[in-house]
Amino acid sequence: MNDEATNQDVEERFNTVKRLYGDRLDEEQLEGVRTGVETIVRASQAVSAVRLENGDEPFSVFAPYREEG
Amino acid sequence: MSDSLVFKSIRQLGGLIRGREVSPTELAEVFLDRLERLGGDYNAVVTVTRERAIREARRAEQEISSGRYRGPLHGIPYGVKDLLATKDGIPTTWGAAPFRNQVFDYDATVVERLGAAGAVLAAKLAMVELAGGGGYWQPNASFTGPGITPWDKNRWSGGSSTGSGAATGAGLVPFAIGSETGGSIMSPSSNCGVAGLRPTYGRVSRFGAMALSWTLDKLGPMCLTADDCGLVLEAISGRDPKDPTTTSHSFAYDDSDVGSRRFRFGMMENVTDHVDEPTRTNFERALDVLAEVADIEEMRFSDLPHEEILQVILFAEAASAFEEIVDSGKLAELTAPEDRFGAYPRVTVLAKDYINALRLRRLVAENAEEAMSPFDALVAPTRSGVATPVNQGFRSATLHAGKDTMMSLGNVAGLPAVSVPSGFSEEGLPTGIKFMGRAYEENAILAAARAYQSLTEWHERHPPDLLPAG
Repeated sequence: MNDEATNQDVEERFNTVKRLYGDRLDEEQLEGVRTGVETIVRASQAVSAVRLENGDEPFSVFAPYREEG
Repeated sequence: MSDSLVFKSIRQLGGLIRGREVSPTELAEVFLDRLERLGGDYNAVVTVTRERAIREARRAEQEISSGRYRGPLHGIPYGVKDLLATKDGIPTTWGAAPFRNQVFDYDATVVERLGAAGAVLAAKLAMVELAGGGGYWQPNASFTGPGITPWDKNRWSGGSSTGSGAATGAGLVPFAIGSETGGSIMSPSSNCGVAGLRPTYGRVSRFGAMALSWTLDKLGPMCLTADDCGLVLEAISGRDPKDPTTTSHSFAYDDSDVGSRRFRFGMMENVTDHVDEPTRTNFERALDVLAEVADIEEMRFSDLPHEEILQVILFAEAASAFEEIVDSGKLAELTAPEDRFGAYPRVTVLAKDYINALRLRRLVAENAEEAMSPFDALVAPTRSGVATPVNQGFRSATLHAGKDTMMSLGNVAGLPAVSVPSGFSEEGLPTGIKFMGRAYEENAILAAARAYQSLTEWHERHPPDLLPAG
């Protein structure tokens, strides 16, 4: 993802937070939120950059529940 | 007699109790007095549980008098990080002002198990609000004030298990329970000069513990020695139907003599690239000491984005765990200004990115297992630097410019690690060395740490102004 696309992604996600919670955050806090969103976008990009095979499953195994005993 | 009980290990105190040289009530009084008198100096204590402690100590005394000795924790006072639920009307505050009056009607499994081992709950200990779930970047992030290391009242205790580290290091309790999601046992252990054990994920039940990140949260002991960590882990570990993530791998502490054992340690290449001078110097000295008992080889992990994987998992799970708190507006009541907005961005983590991080987690774990299998443990400085000033933002400090791969990888893969003191800076601040092992290999890393502690005496040093008079 190039810088422009990254910035657009950050802006769109930031606007989601602003729409949901903007009424309770001041300008300084909103800037902090924007920085937090940038961190998430960068981390997500790093995760997505690693090639995974279709069969690579999540490391959380679901097991049907049965009461012990 | 009572003064000489402070800064003794659990094993030493247990011997005195078993030999009837000291009674559990006498021991409880010593530590309750110190908690009440000194706890505030370090912002280490939320609640001294005096009434419950005296009740539990008297019961221990009666049992021991009648010949029923439960083991090395019987009659030993302890404290828990205040994210563990306790009954009897004792508040469980999660370190956060909005929850300062929160009360549960049950004990966390860890508290129950310590009770079954005969230990005596003496205090609920301070912590960073919501265990750092707000994204704090400076120490003043708890309604009880910033955690302070017993070694310097102007320096941070490390976090988020601030009180567990400070109270143990100050001799206010013989041991404490902390929690780690991304460094919260290792950091205060190093800053406060104590031994801290992060168990394998699933080794210790989290039932009754505040959830920050279900697949990362772990509970573990903080003590004066690695040996004591083994004693406590044996008491608190094991399968718990109330926590489905607990493992069926049982743990029995192997405290056999390590005298003649030779270890094989791995060390990540460039592991000291981003650490400060005293930490590097003390780590290099520690390697010289360890060379007496171990062969040490450089190794490397695959080039995966460990820190980013940790972030995505933590942020996504915390967004769910704290959804109610976020929506309620209670974040505005938190102490640290950055915690009042830090959780909001996390609603933007995409589901596919969280799932991808969990898929990468398997690769991280498999790679770690392969890379670590030749070794008894990996060694590294516990933290990149000594305790930072209590009024300084630690995330912005240049000491922490580098990524801590051992921390990220270890927590993503759920691997055990133990930190023990490795020396002091010229200013008298402690540094730590950590031994990280393969999954379920707590006995291997504890043996390594015990071997190191048998060759050094850093763990026998305590803050001079906290030593009992006489």
